Amino acid sequence: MTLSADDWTALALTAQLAALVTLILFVLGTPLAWWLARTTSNWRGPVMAVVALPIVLPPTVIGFYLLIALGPNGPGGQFTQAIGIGLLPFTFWGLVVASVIYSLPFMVQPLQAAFEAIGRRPLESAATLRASPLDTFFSVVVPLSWPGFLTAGVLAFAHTVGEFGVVLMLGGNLAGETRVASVQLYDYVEAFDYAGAHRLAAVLMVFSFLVLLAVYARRPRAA
Amino acid sequence: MHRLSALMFALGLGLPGTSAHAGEVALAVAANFLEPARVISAAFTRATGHSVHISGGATGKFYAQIVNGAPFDVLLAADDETPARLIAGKQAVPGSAFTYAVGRLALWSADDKKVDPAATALRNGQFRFLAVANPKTAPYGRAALETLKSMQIDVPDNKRVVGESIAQTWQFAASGNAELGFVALSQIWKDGKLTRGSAWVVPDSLHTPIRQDAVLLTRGQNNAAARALLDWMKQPATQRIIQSYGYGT
Amino acid sequence: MSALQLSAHWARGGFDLDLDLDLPARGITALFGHSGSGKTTLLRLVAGLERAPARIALGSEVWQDAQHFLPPHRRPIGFVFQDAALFPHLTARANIEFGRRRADAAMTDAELAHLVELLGIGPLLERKPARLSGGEAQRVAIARALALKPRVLLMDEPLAALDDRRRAEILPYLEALHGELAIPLLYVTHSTEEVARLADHLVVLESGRVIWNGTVAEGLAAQGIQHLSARVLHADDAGCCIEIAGQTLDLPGVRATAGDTLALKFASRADGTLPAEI
Repeated sequence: MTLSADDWTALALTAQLAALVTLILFVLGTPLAWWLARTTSNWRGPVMAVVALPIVLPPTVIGFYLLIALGPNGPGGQFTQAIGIGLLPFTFWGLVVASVIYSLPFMVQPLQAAFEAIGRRPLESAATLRASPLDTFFSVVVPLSWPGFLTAGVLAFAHTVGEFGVVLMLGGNLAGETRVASVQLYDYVEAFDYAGAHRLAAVLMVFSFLVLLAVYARRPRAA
Repeated sequence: MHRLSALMFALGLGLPGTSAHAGEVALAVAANFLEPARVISAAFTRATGHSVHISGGATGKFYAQIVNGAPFDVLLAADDETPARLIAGKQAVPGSAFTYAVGRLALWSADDKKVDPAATALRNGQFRFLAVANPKTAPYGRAALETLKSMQIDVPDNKRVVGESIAQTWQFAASGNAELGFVALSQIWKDGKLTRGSAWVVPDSLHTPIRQDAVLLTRGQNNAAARALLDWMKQPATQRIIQSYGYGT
Repeated sequence: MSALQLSAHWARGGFDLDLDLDLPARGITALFGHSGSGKTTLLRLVAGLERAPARIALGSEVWQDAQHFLPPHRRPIGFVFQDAALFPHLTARANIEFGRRRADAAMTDAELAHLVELLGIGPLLERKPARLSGGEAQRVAIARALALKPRVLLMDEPLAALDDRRRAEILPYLEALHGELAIPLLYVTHSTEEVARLADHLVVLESGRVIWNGTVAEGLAAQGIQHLSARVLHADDAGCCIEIAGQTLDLPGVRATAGDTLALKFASRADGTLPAEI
């Protein structure tokens, strides 16, 4: 079973996109999830609803609005031009931005649940032992919630690999730049090249399964 | 003549909406023809009482769906190959295919100063991105590439963004993300003029004609309303509507 | 020696605190009261775990007043929670090291070794909290809090979550500790027995107000409770014999162990008779 060079490019692009997005989401999502888990502010509900929106909205809707917002006439596009990075649609970084938005709830929700499960006591305990809030986070919260981090990372990664609607709307299907594996696969199907589609789909499935297996096989079983 | 046949329809099939013989047509329409299809179907329903359920999308996608049993009665394709393939594969009724519209290709920009009759911006590469429909699936995409070849213009891959359908191609151009796009004239033309932006209508000689064929699908072969719709498409009044949207007939 | 000063006057959701307290700079001060009396809230205020308008100072060091609030991790306190609250992902030793590593002037290795021996937790150090009994965990928690060399030790009903046997096991350790501590210990409890056995000073709270701030014996008596301590001389299955107030007393049917110290609680009844409970 041999894949074409285009296929490998698409797969590499997909892997890069998913890895980068997952990393960015860890950095952005962790403080957000922590705030949501701890705050008593009235903003908590609305913020949770906004975070959850990408789950509910059709991906093509998200892609459509991003296309407009990041375009030359949209607020996002005008901003990116003003700071000198040009326009994001049809670029790899445009996909990164779109994927970060699209996969945000898959990072934030598991983290928030894990943080909430810790409760108040370990945090109070740490405070009485001279640990500052930041110190407490890294020495107590993270060790007690690492399964949550794992779940969040895997879900965000897998979700980005499977992303299609948003990519199609915002990507423009440029080889080597935005033609990720899901789009490449779709092209095969549209062109009735089912043999090519099967080959690529098989590799994609095996790759995804192995990633998920490597992560889930190590998780501790619930007592 | 047309009024007489319309009268006959009305007499034969009863008043719109109240007839016991009111049928339903499941219609699959190529994305570029969606708006005229809605207008034509509305007129058809008013005249005959049959209701029409319209699904718009890429012709290639419809092909795959129909082959796998999708419940459509009639297909208004964006090309002439797909109906032919359907007939060959026994998913459509032989002899029922005919050209309902001839697609016109246009180079368009949402910016009303960008495109001139000489298509200078295209020739001189004065653009970041040119939007083109996927040639593997959309005849407008194929026609666009043929046009570029005829004009001997080479657009590098990284400046050419590909839309999944002609509708998406239009969106790329309409949002301004692609300064230029090869779209269907019907998408930017209404009542004899351009709806917005600037355009250059591509001469027919530069590409293979985009014949858009209609065909009766096997599933609809016993559906009287479906056959009636196909007849309706050939009516002069319908043809005039089609032309007003920027198609040839 | 600096004393702990607390001043709080506020109302919150049907509950208020209205008190001004100056607490001794040494020894065990018991904060006694029934549930809802405000004793735990008061303790948590001192720790900085609750945030409410109050003035809290240790000697000349103001921890909290109308303008400032020193967060809990900056207060020189040690805190023992009712449920020990050991970190489940760390061994007992690592739990103790957690605070010790972070405090400015923590115990030396020698001091810690002495404390470990005093509390009898040497054999437990390499275990994780899941493998410690309630009493063992509590002793580790006490060591963990003391390893920081706090200037005040705060204990929130440390024995309340333990069954009678475990409680009886720990009390001697606490009594031993009592002798060694040079810092004030604020001990929240609703058990008069613990007050009688451990406290040097008694503060009684009711509905957020202080209704007693003074000696233990008089305080308990004012509650209608009298305590005397007794020592068990000898015991067998039939009963025991105790030495109390300079006299010996046989208690048939009462089980005890020779050499134990008991607290006998006498609660007065309206008719003036004194039923005894052990």
